[in-house]
Amino acid sequence: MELMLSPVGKKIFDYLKKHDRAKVLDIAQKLNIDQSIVMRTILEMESLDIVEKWEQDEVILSLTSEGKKALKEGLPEEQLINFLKDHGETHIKDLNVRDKEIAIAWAKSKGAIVIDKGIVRLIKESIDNKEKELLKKVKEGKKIKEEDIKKLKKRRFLEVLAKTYVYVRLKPEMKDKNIRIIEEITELTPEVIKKWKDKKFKKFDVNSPAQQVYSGKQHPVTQVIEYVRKIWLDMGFKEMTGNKIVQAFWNFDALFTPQDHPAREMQDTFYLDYSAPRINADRQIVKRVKEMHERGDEKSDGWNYTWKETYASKLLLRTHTTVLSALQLASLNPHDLPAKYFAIGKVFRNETLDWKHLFEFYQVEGFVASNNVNFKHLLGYLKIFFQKMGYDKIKVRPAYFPYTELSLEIEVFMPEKGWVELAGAGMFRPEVVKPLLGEEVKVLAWGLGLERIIMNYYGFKDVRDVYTTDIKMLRDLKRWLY
Amino acid sequence: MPTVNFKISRLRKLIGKELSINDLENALSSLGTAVETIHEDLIEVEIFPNRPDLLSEEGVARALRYYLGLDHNLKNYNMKKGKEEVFLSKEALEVRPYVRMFIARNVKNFDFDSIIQLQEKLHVTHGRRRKAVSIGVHNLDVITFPVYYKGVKKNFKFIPLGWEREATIKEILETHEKGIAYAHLLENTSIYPVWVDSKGVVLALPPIINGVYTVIDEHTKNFVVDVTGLDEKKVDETARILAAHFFELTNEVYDVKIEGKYLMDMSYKKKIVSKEEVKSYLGVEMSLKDMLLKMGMGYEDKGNNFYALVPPYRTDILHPIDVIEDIAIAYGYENFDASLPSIATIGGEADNNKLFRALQHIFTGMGAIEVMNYHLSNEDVLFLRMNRKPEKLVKVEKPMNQEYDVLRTDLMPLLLHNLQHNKLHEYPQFLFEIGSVFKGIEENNAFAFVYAGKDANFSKAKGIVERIVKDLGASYKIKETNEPYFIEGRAAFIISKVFEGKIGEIHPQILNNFDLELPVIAGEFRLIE
Repeated sequence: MELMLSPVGKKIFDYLKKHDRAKVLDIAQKLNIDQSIVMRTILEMESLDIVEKWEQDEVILSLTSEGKKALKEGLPEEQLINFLKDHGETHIKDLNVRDKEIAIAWAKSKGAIVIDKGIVRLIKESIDNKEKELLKKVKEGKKIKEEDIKKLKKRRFLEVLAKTYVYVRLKPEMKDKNIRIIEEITELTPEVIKKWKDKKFKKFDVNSPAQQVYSGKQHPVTQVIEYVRKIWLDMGFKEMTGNKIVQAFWNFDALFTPQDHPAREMQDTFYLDYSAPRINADRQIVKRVKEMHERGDEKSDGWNYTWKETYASKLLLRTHTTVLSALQLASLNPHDLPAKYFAIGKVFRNETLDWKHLFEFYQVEGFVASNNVNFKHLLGYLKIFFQKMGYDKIKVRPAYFPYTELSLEIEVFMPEKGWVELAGAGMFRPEVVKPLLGEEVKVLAWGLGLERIIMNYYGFKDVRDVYTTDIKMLRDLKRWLY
Repeated sequence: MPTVNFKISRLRKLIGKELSINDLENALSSLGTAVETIHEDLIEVEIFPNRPDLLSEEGVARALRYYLGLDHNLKNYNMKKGKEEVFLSKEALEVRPYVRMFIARNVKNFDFDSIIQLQEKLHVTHGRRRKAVSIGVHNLDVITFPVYYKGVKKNFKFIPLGWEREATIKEILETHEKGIAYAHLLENTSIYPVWVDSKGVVLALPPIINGVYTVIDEHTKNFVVDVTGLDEKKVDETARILAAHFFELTNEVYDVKIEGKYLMDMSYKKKIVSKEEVKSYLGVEMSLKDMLLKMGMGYEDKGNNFYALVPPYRTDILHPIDVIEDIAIAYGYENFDASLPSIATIGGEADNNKLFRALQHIFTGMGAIEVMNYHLSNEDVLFLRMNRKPEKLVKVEKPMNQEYDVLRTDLMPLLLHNLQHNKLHEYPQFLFEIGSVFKGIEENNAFAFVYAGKDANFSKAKGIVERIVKDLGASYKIKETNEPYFIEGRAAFIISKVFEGKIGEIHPQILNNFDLELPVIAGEFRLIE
């Protein structure tokens, strides 16, 4: 029996006769035929039982900058050991080595050092440096064991990239068949269009995969932000924007957060290694904030401690967009009321990046300042917002924030996940409003993260996927369609 | 946010009612203490830091009894004046200046785990990790009053809790688990505060560790509690919370005479609140007296105003608004009807959004994909791989992620890094980003693009910029420039009325640094606002 093949099919057939198996990608390159045409032809040949195809993953290992550095300059713990060899026992703070904390941790776990009252002492000079040999192997393109890959990944020396390839091979019984080429028109050229009569057009299998068409795309987070912005604009809110670097004064003090509050500590907040300027605020406001913290006023007891301007002037990356509300309140006059504002902006927390935590994320902020609002209206705005985001069922319960009283948390119902906490809200404490605005006015306020909403919409399990920079994933993500 | 574990069986006993798990969970949630997990007899709840009085089974049971209407009487915290005396030395006060002490006798239904958990959680929260406040709970029966608060030297010896032998303070600070953890709180002193009784028995070395002699166990009936610290308000509040805790288990709580004075005040404090204000904040009317009782507070009518009588264990009532919140909690957040105010305001978006959006549409129209990189990056990506020296770099202090320790100064290096991660995906690849960059602490709005593919050349880069400029209805000026990351003679400086920046063909050295194998063109621009 003879096989009827198109000219491209014949070329692929001949190629496969010479190879046991081949990647589709390689066939396209070697034959210099567009990959999509090769793929289409192969699918036709598969449907005729001439070839069989399968997918196979290939893992590509690549060294991170840390990995390259470790290979070139030695592992951090090796450098620490060398330093200690040269300098003798040294206090932790005087250790001048790369990635100090990491170096100490690994040197300790490898039994090379002991730390006593902050003094680091070398007890073993030669340690297991297997990581370096592994890194060398990876660099030379040699294979390493799965457990070693894990080990290097854990130390952030290695990145593992996986790619799927389509392989194809001739069915053994097809190898000796004769081929007859059928001349059918595949592509319409200007010549064909002029003389199309008597020509036979090749039939396309409508079920075969399409040629990929990619579109330019806004990042999913941008799409969601545009949608959220529109919700607030529709409700008559003005947008606030502002710097991400702010002074502790605006991030904490203006929001009546006492200076020894745990949230202000280093492990939660990114303070900047930069000398702090004088507080960038009206001196009257600084004075009023200071007095409110120290002694309160005729209605409030205040926090009762000595407020220090040096703590308030420190520079940091804003930990919440509530900073913008504080700044906005400070720039309003009582006769500007009622006022409704919102903001959508990045905020920062010093967290270890993992599937559950980001160190920067988007927050949506809003406030309504007027003496004609009350707690029920706060619930009203939140209910409408979440309805427009696609969540009809919400639940509120009491909460605590240093700068709001009444305070509440909002949970929304997600069919796949149940009740999920999405927002914090409240009425700004009079101790916040009075120093900024000059008088006590009721201010409804709220803040919520966007990431969980985005994860729910896209079905992400890993929060880092929200900020993915993977082109394949971005090319194929659906649009935000609320 | 502290979480605590309560024994459900003990909670039920203290509440005095066999509440179902569901009712218990709902009541706790309505009070603002969210239930995290329930495992057999243990319920784990999250307590907000403003309510340290809820950190023990005794405290939560007290709140629930009022909240559920099982208790209609305000308890009289009748603290008796004890005969026991305490004397303070100047040396010890210089190190840890504020102290309180009280005694609880004939304690019933005592639970060891509950007091230990309360002590630990108070240390962490209200005590600011023992810096502001530390607590010692002792067995009264082995202590001979008067007790002295002494300042001693490093070579002073006693047996610390957890050890079986005498050790000097020096040794304890350097090698005892608690010593190592808290030695920094006694850093700049050569004098150490200790509580010692008349027979020389050491009660504690605050804020580090108790002595082994006065240790309590589940059979202890009579207690001495000491509270010391640097913050008088917090020391006093902590002592009141602890005394109220013991009042749940006995009526015999005695204040200790400290240098001739009784320092503890367990009376209800009056906070004056305007009735009108409650109505205007909450938008509903209700019986204020009933609501306050549900929160364990008293009510005294004063015409247009009323006094809220705040129990001694509540440390969070600073302002009338705090009373109003308690009223709302008593009313039940779920019972407020959501509604909207009749306020007419005109909305408006921030000015720079318009330009950002225009740029997004122009780039996506050209087929580019928007990415969002983190604002934190590292020196290697931003400078070393770009073949340039670091300048105007701002580092964050103590980053948890070593690879993200510097504020980004440009977007282009991040986009090249993105290309590296995507090198196995289909080409051409065209990425852009719009966002903030930082030169020192100065923050600017910027945008950048990279294009990687066989046809990436200077002419295309110029074409991209030209498209943007034309679509924005502007014009531009161009001149040759030099950058260490562009090929010499294939880079230009561009200025228009909307933005200025640079475009060019990325130098092969840089492509090597990012493991890229195809030509790449790129541009980086700062918006002129």
